[in-house]
Amino acid sequence: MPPTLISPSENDYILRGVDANIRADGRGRLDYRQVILETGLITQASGSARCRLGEGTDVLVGVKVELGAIELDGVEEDVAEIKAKRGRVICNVECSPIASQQFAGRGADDFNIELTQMLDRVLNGPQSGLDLEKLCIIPGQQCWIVYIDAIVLDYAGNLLDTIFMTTRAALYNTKVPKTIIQDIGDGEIVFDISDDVEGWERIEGWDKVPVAITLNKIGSRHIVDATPLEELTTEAKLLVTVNKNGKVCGLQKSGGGSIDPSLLNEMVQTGRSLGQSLIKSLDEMVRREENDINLKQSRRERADNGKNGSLYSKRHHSPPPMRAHHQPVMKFNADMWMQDFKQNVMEKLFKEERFKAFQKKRRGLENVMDVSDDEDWQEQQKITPVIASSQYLIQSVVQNEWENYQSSPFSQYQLWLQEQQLLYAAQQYQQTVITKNLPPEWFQYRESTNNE
Amino acid sequence: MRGHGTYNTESGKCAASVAGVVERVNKLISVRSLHARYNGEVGDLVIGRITEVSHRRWKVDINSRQDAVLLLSAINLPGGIQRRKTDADELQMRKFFSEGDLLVAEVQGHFQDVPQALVQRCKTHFHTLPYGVDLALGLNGYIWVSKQTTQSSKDQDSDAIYSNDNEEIDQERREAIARVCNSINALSRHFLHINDTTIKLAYEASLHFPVKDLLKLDVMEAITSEVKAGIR
Repeated sequence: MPPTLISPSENDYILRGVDANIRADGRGRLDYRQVILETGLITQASGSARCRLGEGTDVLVGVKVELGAIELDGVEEDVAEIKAKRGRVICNVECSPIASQQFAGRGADDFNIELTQMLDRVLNGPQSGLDLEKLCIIPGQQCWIVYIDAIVLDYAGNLLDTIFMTTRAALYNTKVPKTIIQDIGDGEIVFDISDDVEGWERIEGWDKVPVAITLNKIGSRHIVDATPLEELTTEAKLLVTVNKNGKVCGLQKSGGGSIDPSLLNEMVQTGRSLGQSLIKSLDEMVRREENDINLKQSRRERADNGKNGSLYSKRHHSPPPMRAHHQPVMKFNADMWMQDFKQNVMEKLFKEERFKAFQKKRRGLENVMDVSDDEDWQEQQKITPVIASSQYLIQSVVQNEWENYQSSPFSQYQLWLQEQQLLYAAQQYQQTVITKNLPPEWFQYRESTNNE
Repeated sequence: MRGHGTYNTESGKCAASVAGVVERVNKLISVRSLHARYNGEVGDLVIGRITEVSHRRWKVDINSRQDAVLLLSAINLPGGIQRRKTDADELQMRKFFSEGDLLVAEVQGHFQDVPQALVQRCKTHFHTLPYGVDLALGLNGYIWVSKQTTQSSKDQDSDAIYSNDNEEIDQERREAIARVCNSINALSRHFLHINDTTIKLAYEASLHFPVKDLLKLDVMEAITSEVKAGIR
């Protein structure tokens, strides 16, 4: 749980540490924590990534590409002309209350909006590098909308940098379905979405998406990748977003303190060079991961020898493989079973009765229940049990059958067999535990070993 | 006899209902769960952070379900002697502790947060490590790592107890403090007990690596496996 308050002496300790270039956890001023990056974790998303900073800050990003209409209502004409040819990016960041106490309740609301806007501003302009025009399907009508959803699972400082890193990796992981456009005359255009997962493509320009480097000004120096305590000490923050060519794509200053013009320049330069090297190592990471997956994939395919169709066997791209649909795991429930059993017997009886009625009618007997003409007799039965007296009869029949089953010698034998098996298993288990004689583990009780 | 965190099985055996540490008082057996909130007990040493200053008392965060209360009458006032606390004292409560302060006055260190079950009760919770680092192990899972103080707290005048000024800490000492903090962090990540022995073992194992590398996961694993071998 990261602290939300800081004492003056801690403040001082951190300040002097930054000055001496040894921070509280031993890092230098410009040292980043270890970045752990995974991609393709969410089967239902078009692309996803999870990033952790040294097991501290933990962010999960899912990207979903969906069809949508191009909205031009109330937009000025010259803007509409550009907008008509473009797809859209919609961002959302959410801080989960499990990450930190300060996010509980409504505490995260403002923070969520701040982070969302920051992400939105960077990704929705020309600086994002994404080729939004490629996302347009029919100009003025249909386009792809890229939904980027980030969830903060754990918080240990430097949130924005992590969100940007994860978003970049998730966009790398994203595949957009191919569309085939047909002009059917009269100015009407129809399009079709291809099912061929192999042919889907990345969003053009994902590699030009910038990452962010937050520089925290502490004293007269600045540090990167701050811990929560360091963030509390920070006087002013500068967010520098940089793309892979070292172009600065955005700057945002926050915090109450001031930044000297010469220091500002220095900070931007630091951000630029750090950002570029960060992008290089991130790209290396995602590429290596993808290579690993492909290697495993090809090995599996060789092992399968083409027996299983490989249409959906490629990992983690929507539409998901059929097995990914979650089927509820049902435990045995006596009540449910009984209900089912009753239902079955009832249906059997009704069928019989219906058959009898049908036969009687054929024989010319008119004064019996006539259900044979109803076309939807099955639905009717399920909604209203037809006659009260017959229902009572059915219930008693069910009861009898159940009791018969219980007292039958077969079921008795089954029960006895199960009991025996359990007893045997328990004996076996006890024997193994005794013979193994495990060494004492730390969680076992011991007398206090601390002798001072 | 069954205590908290246990139950009787059908075969009449006593089994744990939570994962945790077995504690035994004579015949009473109870299990303290590993990931529970800290429950205060009389005599525990805890480290806390002031969250609120209110009428004649401070509220202190001690990693527990509720904030603890520190009464004005429970602290030593400047002048050393025990005396009735006056209204004048109440007015200057922020002089002693204000919001955000850690609860031992002479902070020369950094603050570490580990699962509280890992800190065992023992005779003393104040340790001085041979690397010029002082250690206070709070039973609530907060650990205070600081520079070794030169004079013992008895000869300090009581104004200094509430001072917020740090002594000068040199480069070497700073590195040692960071190393101890990171070692403790590694221990808690790998769920090992935290006492002076394990910390010393981890510290010595960590000497093969530069301090900032201790944040790396594989290095943490290397260190903790060495500690495990040392304990056995």
